Amino acid sequence: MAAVGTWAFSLAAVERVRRLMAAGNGATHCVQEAMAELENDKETGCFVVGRGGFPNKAGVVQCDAAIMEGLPGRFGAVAALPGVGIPLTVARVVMDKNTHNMLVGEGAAAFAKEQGFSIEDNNDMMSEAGLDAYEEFLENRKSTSKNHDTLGLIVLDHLGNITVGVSTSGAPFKDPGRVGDSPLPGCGLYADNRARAAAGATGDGDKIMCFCPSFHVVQLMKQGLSPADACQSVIQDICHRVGKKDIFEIGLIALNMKGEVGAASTVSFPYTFWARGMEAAEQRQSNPHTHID
Amino acid sequence: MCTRNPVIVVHGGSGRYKEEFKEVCLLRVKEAALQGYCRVQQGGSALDMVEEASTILENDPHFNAGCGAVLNECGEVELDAIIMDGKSLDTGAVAGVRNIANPTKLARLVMEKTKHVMLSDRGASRFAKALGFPEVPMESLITERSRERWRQNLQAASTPLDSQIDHGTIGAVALDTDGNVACATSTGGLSNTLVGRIGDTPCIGSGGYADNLSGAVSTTGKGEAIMKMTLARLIVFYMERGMSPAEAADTSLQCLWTRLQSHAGVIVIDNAGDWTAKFTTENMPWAAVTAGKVYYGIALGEIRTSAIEDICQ
Repeated sequence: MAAVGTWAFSLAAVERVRRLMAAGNGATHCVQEAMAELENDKETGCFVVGRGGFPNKAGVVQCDAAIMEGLPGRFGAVAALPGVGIPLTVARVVMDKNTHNMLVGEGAAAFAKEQGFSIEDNNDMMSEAGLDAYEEFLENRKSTSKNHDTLGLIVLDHLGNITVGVSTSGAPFKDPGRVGDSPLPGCGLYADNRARAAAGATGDGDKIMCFCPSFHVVQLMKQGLSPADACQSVIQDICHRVGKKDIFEIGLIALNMKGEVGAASTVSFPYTFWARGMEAAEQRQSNPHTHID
Repeated sequence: MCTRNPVIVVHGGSGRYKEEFKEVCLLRVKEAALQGYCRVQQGGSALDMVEEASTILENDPHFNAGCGAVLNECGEVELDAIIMDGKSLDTGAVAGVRNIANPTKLARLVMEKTKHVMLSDRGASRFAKALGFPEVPMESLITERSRERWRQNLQAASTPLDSQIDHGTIGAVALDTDGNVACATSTGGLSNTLVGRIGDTPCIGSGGYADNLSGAVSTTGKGEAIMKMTLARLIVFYMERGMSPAEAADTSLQCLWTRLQSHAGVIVIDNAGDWTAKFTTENMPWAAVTAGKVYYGIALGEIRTSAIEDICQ
């Protein structure tokens, strides 16, 4: 049993997972419940997640979220979804229905409403901090926000099932309808039953997705690399490809079926981790990759 | 600098085609490949080649892309497309866009004019409008065939996926004289789906992928399965490890079947100009143009050849 989350603010989520798993809950339920708590909290919106997250250029909060199970490879995602404070839960319902993988925009909102979710007024999705930042953006016509956060969570349960979830309100003040890396399989997240492994990516989504890094990390783990070496290898590859001048923000986490964790990044990247035997979740640090050609 | 022999491969969607559509679809795919090839003769890039071929098939009502696309559950056309530059890995994609006849062209503008990769739904339309990109009445994209299919699928006992076996996504991959590769894929999705349903096509790594370091891929088949395998990126991954396009395609299609019991079609090109068109369905109209010849086929194992006449004026 183990869990890993992106950034320091995921500590609460990983702790919640620990308690949920102690009560016998499976990986998917843990991912959904733990993430919903953080998504729905306006205070964590400043980490570019869910309610309270940053709006798009037109002032509307549109969220991307996705969930993927290693076994049997089920996947569900929503993108550019307005008015729902727990988008990952909607993605889970998409996955459970198992007819389609991904719903976007107004179609996603219509589906959510049909499934019993309330589509809330945009004002209820905004936080004061988000509103202030948006007003500043309108004045300056450019974003001073450097936030590229996003919540990613990977859980391995007592039965050896692995599930990964990712949720974000997307690049602050993005173009309306913009979909980043987070909800795309292989980009923001990936899980595979044979590697029994998963990876979550966070950072500058528009740059990240071109490398399909989560897919790449899982493939390397399938070939026998540890989660740490796999993450490191993918980051190294990206740095080498892009070069020092154009390098962008990216952080990767990964977990395998043995509960081994890995992380690598191009920036200082705290992540949180718990495994069976540990009394509580703890925060760790991935330091920026330095060997850039 | 060594000038490569340019190559283009184009597909019109994998499935089981009715006899009455086989020859016309194959002919149209062959024409699109030839016209795409002409772009490089005119000094165009790999991106220009795949955009040209995709646009021709989007404008052709026989294919599930642009005009002729299938309808969602409300009887509307929603289009997805992706285009990717193997040199820079820059990518553009649109998902669930309406009232646009050529989503591949729009996807290219997303790539070139924004700092984003994918725009969806009303956001994509808003972007198109802001650029003065031509909007068309939805009616102009709806064919009698698509409407009839939609009507039949409204019946309670219908099986929309089964009835769509002959009406697939289109795509192209190309290598230009500078050694750059590119891919493009375009679709109307699945018939009678939920509004806003997105398949593999606009998802980078699933509907297509292009990287000068190894090659380019465009995929066709059941989107939900292709996405779970990130099929295009998987094929490129195998080529990175030394497999030929044919080996990478075969291995990946086999993985898709073993893991998810799903059939698909792929076109693949590597950075040396080796190419393949592989599918595990009964049919996939495809055509490849290189070194003075055009290769094409629609049935499993079929490869017809003819010399290119001087068609690029």
